[in-house]
Amino acid sequence: MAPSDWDLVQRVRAGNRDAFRELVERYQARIAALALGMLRNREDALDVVQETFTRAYESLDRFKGDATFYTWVYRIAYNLCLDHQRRDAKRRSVPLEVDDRGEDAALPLPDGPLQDLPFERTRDAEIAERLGAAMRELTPEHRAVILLREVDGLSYAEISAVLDCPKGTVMSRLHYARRRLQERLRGLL
Amino acid sequence: MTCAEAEQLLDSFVDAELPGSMLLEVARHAGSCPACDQAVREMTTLRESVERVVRRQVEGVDLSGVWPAVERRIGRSGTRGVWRHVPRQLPVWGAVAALAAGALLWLRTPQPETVRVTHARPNQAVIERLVSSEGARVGIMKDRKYGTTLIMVSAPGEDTGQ
Repeated sequence: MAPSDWDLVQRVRAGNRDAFRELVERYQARIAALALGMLRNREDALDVVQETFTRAYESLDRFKGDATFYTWVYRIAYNLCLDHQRRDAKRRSVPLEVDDRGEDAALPLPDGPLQDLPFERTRDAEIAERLGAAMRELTPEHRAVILLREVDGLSYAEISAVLDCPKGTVMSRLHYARRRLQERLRGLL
Repeated sequence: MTCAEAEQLLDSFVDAELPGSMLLEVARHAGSCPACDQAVREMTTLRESVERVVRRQVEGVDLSGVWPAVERRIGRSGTRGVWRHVPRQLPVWGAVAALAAGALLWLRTPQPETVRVTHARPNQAVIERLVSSEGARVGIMKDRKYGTTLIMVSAPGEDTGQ
């Protein structure tokens, strides 16, 4: 049976660096999903993932266990994404990928069964493209709520803890963001 | 329940963030209202699409370099933050007092409960429509392990077909 997050945290505090590696590998994909969805730039997202875990390690003694480890780490990642976006507002960032029209395009689909289904693949690519454009139009706060809810499946209370805002704000942001995405994807879903 | 009332609760319904009785109310309404049923389905499709698209993007990212990079960074920064804040020359009386206070706290503080990783799947309401000849029925099942709420709505007066 895999050790719990709390067990691993205790081992790290006792000086076991491998335990921290296990925590990193346990949550890196989820933090990457948040960072990639927020920043839409692979290199920046990877930098945020690395910085998130570095800061988590350095401040692990401040983690009291009253929140779950992953919501605590999410909060670090979210704040780093906001910092990154504030810095980016002053300099033009390189988009994830640029198509002929100069707009962000979806990342190529991974190898798999979908490659044998051209229709599904094309449709998915179109959804990905439209969704990417719609996500960019959202504010970082709305984008974060959508990612934490739809991708990570966090509860309203957990999202409230990560974003440091009331649960009612989470609900109104989620409602607004979903309606905006639905409008942009109308006829495609 | 009216369509307007149901619409207000739609987000909380698909996220299974309503109390059981309210979940049932909305499920009953959606079971008999094609427009609200469609709205639930559209929202469910949207969330599935967002999840699928973002997960595919992450699958395309090579995360194998994350730990080596983190290890380098924490190697450079030395020990964790708390130790860097400890004064280098702690007075002896201060150290003794701190040790005594720490021992007292340690003895009085209950050990934290083990945090279980139960987040294998997102919290969500899964709506399963059943066809039954026994009249309309609505039921809720909560899967504690995965945080999934299963809402079963049976349509009245139709054969099961099984």
